[in-house]
Amino acid sequence: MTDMTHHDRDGHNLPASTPTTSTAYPALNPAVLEQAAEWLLLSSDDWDQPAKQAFQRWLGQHQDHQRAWQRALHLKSMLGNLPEQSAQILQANPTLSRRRAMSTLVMMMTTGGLLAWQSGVLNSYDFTTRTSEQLDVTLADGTRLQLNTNTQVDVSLSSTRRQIQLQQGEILINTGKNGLYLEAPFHVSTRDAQLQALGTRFSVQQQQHQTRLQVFEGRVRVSGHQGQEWQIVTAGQQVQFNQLGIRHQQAASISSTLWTQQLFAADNLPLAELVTELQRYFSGHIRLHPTLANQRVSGLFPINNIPDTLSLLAQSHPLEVSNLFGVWLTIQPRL
Amino acid sequence: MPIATSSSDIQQLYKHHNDWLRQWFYRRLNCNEQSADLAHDTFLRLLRKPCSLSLNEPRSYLTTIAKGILISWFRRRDIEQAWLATLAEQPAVYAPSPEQRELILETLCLVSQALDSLTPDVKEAFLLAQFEGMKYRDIATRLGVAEITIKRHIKRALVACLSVMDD
Repeated sequence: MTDMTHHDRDGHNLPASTPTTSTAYPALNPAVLEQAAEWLLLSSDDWDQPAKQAFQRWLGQHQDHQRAWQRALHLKSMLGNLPEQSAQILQANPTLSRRRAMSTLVMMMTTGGLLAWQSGVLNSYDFTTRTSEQLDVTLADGTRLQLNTNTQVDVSLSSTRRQIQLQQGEILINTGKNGLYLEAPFHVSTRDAQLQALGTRFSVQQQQHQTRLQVFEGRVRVSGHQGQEWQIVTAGQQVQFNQLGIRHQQAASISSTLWTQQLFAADNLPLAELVTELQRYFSGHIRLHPTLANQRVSGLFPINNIPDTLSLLAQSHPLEVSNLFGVWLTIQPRL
Repeated sequence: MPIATSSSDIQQLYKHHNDWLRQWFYRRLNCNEQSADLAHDTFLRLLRKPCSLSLNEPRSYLTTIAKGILISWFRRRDIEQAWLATLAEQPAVYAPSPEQRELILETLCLVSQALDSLTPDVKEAFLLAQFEGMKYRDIATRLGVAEITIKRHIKRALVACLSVMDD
């Protein structure tokens, strides 16, 4: 029905224009949207330094540029989460679909893409979240997969093997056992190692130089990429490993899954570490005055609105937060 | 010209015109429940939108908004049906959660709305690049235009999407 007009039941033509629903902000200038689209198309390539600087300059020029860029990133993430079948649905326009009826099946098998957003073959699926987004999906085998902020996974399911590749970020998994997949072993791979779930609930986080695994139910086998088994981690345990092997082991902390409830728990944590954690959920920049780095903080912090969270923090601690365009947050000692 | 911006004005409008608006929807949908919902949506949109509302002709203004609501509703229904049909044809690879489902539907509606404003060539170029992973050069050959034109098409489609989005 994606025609220019729609015929209602009385046969009237309805105009295709829909009243806009913009709320607090004035509409963005089309020229700014066009610039954002250009940057979005450019940003898929490897940027050289001058391009990056030009982009930063553009971003800093006007608040509207930041609004447009946020919107562009949101669009990118939304399009990235569309299933491949979307083309068929969006082609419901009769002239197009007649012309292209033959190619719709071929389309399901293609790879690559406009900005390399979409997944490849039919039995695999990519999920991505951008900064401050989370996603909760149930896979066909009944597995519940939760993605924390700024996370990317490739999922591929078959009756002989279930594989989740954690490209970046953090996931929480509750493995499922739906019929067809009952016998299929469940693997998660990270940059550092291979994990095999042995009936279970666990979280995996790809950190900069290592992977963190926490097991809450059941057991998980950790093996190097060459296949040698390192350890079987049981419920209540947490391990950190890199490509050379297990480095640290300690008790799992159930509070580290609080992100599924949009919260982060700090227990006597240096402010610098809290800021590092909150930065994961904020696409702007948080700057912390160096003299505050070691100040200790405790509490439960909402992670769905970082500027608000920092304002709350400022009410209970001797510090000040200044907020520039909602993109640059600076934490300073209160004078 | 009298302007309604306060919610109490809208309450007045609701009191005087809600039944009429429900009838308006009912004549087009033949469903009481749906009509009540959409009439409700119409007033919600009025409340959200910083509007300059002419009280001289409230019904003509309401009708304009109601038409937009109705188009969105038809669009969403068609897309939802098309999507469910497509899913049913495929081996079940994944079962999206209700939240994920809602997100996909919303995105599809948004993209569909954006594409409506574009020429068939622009629309096709965008779909080929986005969902079939075709290179600009190949799309250009297929559509019989220059590669630079395809690039412009893709950008135009992205801008159209950005234009129908809210912050």
